[in-house]
Amino acid sequence: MENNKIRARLLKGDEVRFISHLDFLNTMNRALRRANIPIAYSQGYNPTPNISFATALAVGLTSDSEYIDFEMEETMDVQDFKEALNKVLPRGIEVIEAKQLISKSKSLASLVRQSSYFARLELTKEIDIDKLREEVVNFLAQEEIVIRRKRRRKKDRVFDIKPMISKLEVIGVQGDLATIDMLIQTGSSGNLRPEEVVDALADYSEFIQPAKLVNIHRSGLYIEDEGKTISPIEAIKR
Amino acid sequence: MAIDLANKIQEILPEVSKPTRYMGNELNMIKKDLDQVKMKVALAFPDVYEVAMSHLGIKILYHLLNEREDTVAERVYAPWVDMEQKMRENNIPLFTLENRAKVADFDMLGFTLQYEMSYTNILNMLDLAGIPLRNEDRGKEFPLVIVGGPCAFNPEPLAPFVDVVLLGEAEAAIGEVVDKYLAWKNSDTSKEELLKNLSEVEGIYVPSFYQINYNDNGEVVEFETKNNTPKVLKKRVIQNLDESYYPQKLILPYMDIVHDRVTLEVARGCTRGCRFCQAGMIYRPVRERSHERIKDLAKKLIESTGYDEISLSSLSTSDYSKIEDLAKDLLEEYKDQRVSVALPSMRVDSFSVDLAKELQAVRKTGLTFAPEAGTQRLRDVINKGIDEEDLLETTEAVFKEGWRRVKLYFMMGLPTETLEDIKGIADLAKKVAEIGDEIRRNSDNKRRVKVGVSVSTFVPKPHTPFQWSKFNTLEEIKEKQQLLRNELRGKDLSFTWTDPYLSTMEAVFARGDRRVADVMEKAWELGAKFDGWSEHFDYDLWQKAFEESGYNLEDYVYRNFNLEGRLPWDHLKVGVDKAYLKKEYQKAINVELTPDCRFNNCTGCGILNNLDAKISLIGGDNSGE
Repeated sequence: MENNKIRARLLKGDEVRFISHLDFLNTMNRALRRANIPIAYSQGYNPTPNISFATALAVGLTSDSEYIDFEMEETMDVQDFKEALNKVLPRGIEVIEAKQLISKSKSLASLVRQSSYFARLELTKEIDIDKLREEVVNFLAQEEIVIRRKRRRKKDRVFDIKPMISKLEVIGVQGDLATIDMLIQTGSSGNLRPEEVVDALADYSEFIQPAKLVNIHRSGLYIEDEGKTISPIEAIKR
Repeated sequence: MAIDLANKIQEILPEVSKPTRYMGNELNMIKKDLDQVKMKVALAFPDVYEVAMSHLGIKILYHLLNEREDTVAERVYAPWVDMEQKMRENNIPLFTLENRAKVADFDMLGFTLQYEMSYTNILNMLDLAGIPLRNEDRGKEFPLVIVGGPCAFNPEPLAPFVDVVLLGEAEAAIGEVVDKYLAWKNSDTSKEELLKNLSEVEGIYVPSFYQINYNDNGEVVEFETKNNTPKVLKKRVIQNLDESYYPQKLILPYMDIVHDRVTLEVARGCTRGCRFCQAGMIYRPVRERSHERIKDLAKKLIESTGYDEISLSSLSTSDYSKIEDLAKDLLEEYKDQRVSVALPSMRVDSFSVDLAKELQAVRKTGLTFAPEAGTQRLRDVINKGIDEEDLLETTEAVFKEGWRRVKLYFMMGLPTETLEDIKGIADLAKKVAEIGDEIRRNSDNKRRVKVGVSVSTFVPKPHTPFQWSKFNTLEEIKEKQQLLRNELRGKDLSFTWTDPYLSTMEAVFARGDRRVADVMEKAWELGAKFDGWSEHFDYDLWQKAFEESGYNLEDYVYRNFNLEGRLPWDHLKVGVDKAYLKKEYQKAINVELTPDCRFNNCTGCGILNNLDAKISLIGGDNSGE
């Protein structure tokens, strides 16, 4: 057996939106033990389950697109794997789909390129959806969209995020709330945070309030596969 | 209303550090419909989540109370300062983790008293909950405030703030307390009536039913009871630990907590009789759980949590009967699941290098030993009962087996102590380091030895043979710490000490009386909270509180109680005779040892005569005694 891995997509729901990436990892490790899953352990002084995440989700967000590769000690049916884990996972965490990895794959983390998010915008007043769409179109039409990112013990980084935004669309307005859908760059070669996009919008438009993390949901994650960006599970099909 | 509060909380969480502390929703949390129960109990720990969630007692009570269909128990812990600020800004009252319900709407609010320096957090939590601090200002519309835990054996500094004190092991009495409360709730009578009913439960102390006055030396000169309450109060104990309640599930936190593992209590009590140790006196008699029961619990707890470590806990785990057999069986059982077994609280004289080797088969993290004092004379004064040979032989053996990190734990400020004894700490540590270095040089493992010397300041505690002794002055402590800083320089040595100012305040409250309640309230008004955390502790503020309240801090700390006087906590009985404590005090001064009654004759502490309980050493013996 050359490659004995299962790739799964997980939900991180409202109940657990404030747990950190490390907490999430620990939670998975303990769930694997409770479910008696034959997971492979690392070598060395302090053996830990061999599981690898695609990317860390910021504290406060929910997501239905957390991807994890699990290296198995023994082959396990993916349906059994999914059911066994879901039986023991705490409320708010769920395996949505799982698939056997066929060929050897590079680490998920090194392949991640983009994420999509839904964000609920709080508006300063009730406005028409077309008016808001116009604001977003004008926002994107700027020559550059420069933001300032604070960094711990380092100088602030000031940079243009326009090339990192592939999509930004208003999909609905209700009263003084609106929902936008965005597809932005994620990963080691460049990482844009959804709240930075919302804050940049708020800076630009008088109608939009600054971001609140509890209003953001990750809806998709995409990796590079033969020059295309597709979801990590779709990438297994071929 | 309730939904509003939950939403308001959710909105501020992204703005505070470690929001997981306030999130709830952990695996094995019990969330009931609050409208479907008759009795709502909020179990409070006056410190942050990571500390609170590591405490076994609250876990036992939480699950025990929730077993009752008519009762719900929810958790509430001290919000960290950033969260407190957000809560105050947004008018969010103190809330429970399970239902995010207002603590003020509960029937009962129980605090566990584990550490004197968390007392101001109790006041702060009451205030955050919108509950008046003083019991005289609380009508029956507010929760009944009940406290328990080790510091509850001298609850006098908190007397004006609490309604009821539970003495001893709460799982033995909490059922009766809930029953009495429910009966009263249906009767529609006064709070005074409730307190009277509760005072009939053995182990329940209602401070407001007692009028106590003190002389200048802090001894009791006037002691009046009202409502025919008893003049002496006895603690409650579990009769049969093996059959007593122990949860089969533990709440699994998401964030790292201080003790992040399955804690399995193998025994309660300790017979060693160290004269400084409050736990050794107040948790008597010694009772063990059987191997069979512990193995069964281990299985259920690993299955329900998925933890990768089991800690076999007790006051002195190496004294537990056939501990090696138990630990090896557990290791074998969980080897494939990579679950490790830890034994805290090992004594040098009963320590087994073979066992330690098996426990740390791969990871040789470090071992801690507690000689407690630097010279044989002083170790005999405190009745520690170990000698230098024990320590040197054991550390030599562990260095030979490949360990390189050893931590030695000592105290300073013990009765009869001189600078000679302090120097003895450094000498002993140096000997250990030299032995280690020699072994290192002759072995393949060239990693340097590290001997960490941790010296805390002794604080005299009630119900111990040293309860009469005075605390060292700040000058004395500083001189001793400086001596050790000078002596403990060197490649293989490191030295850590405790803040002398913090220990001073701990000494005030440990042996405090009802008068220091005013000081505490004043200090809280001036901003005292999280006093146990060095970044928040402010001694100047406490000095100011003392001045403004008209009391003298030094009177409290440097007090040498008269052996014949009546102490502020003498009406509360832990089961050990005061005559025994006096005898032990005299023997300490005369440098005489008292052997462990587990291996020798009865030492006459009186516990079995005074309480309806017996010693039980059934570990490894399936049939019991």
